[in-house]
Amino acid sequence: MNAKLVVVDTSVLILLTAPSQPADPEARTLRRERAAAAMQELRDDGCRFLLPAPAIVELAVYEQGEAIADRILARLGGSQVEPLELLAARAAGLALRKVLRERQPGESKGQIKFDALIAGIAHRKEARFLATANPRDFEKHLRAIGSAVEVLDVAAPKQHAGQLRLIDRIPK
Amino acid sequence: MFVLSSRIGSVRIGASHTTDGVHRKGIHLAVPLQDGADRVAFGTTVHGRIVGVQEGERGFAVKLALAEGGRQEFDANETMAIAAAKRFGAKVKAEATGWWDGQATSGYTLVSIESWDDTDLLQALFDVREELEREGVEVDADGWIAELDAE
Repeated sequence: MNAKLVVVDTSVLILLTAPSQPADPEARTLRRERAAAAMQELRDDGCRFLLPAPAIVELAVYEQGEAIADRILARLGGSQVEPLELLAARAAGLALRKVLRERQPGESKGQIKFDALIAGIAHRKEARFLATANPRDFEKHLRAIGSAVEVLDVAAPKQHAGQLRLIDRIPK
Repeated sequence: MFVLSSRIGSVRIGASHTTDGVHRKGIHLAVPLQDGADRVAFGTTVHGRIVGVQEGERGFAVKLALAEGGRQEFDANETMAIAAAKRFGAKVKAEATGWWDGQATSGYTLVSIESWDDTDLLQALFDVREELEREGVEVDADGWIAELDAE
């Protein structure tokens, strides 16, 4: 287990880069502020962030991604983008095999695959956290392969007692 | 035959402290090394700091303190070893190949090596947002994240 390694999901990239707008609903602003605060806390704690290559695919593939994906890629510079190498691919495959078997009728199959690839990389790198703003099926995938990686929903209110973030105390 | 770090040789079994005090000749066991038929080659990218460059009987070895923690030794040819030596103590991004036998990885070999300056990812993301805000670009973040759940 790499206690200071955090794999960053696509949803965090979207939430932190999407421009704020005056008409933004309060809930969206709050989610963004929570995500930024959580990621800053991790960085201040000495954590390293790792971008899984499938998150870049996911970012680029959607219509809205065009404006953001290239700019993020242009600024990544020395950031660590982790490829889907053999053992990560195998972990993803094992997770998918189990999760797809238990898939509910109508549940998206395509998205499950992206999640599995990202979870597979986090598992292979023995990351402490998989940071996401959309937990989706990550827990199922990680559980399916007996992974010790924890899913961290950065946009959710902080759960630890006595450590409520300031942004969650502001009366809205 | 065995491979231990950069050494290669056969295993010898002998008797010591025999009750009759007679010295007996040892037996050398030499089974073939695995020829790789049951292994899969794979490629990977690693980030870290060069902490060792060594020349041994089997060639060169480069040791990296990995960015995510731990150390990893790589076999290297002379070109890679020189490139690593020039960057001793510095952060590098390296591409390597390795073997996987179904249980464990082994035989990591450097393919390329370059200097690496670790960017602050979080700051890069905030910079992108500021840039988009300045340009008046509108993005429906919630809708997009919800779209990730759709087929």
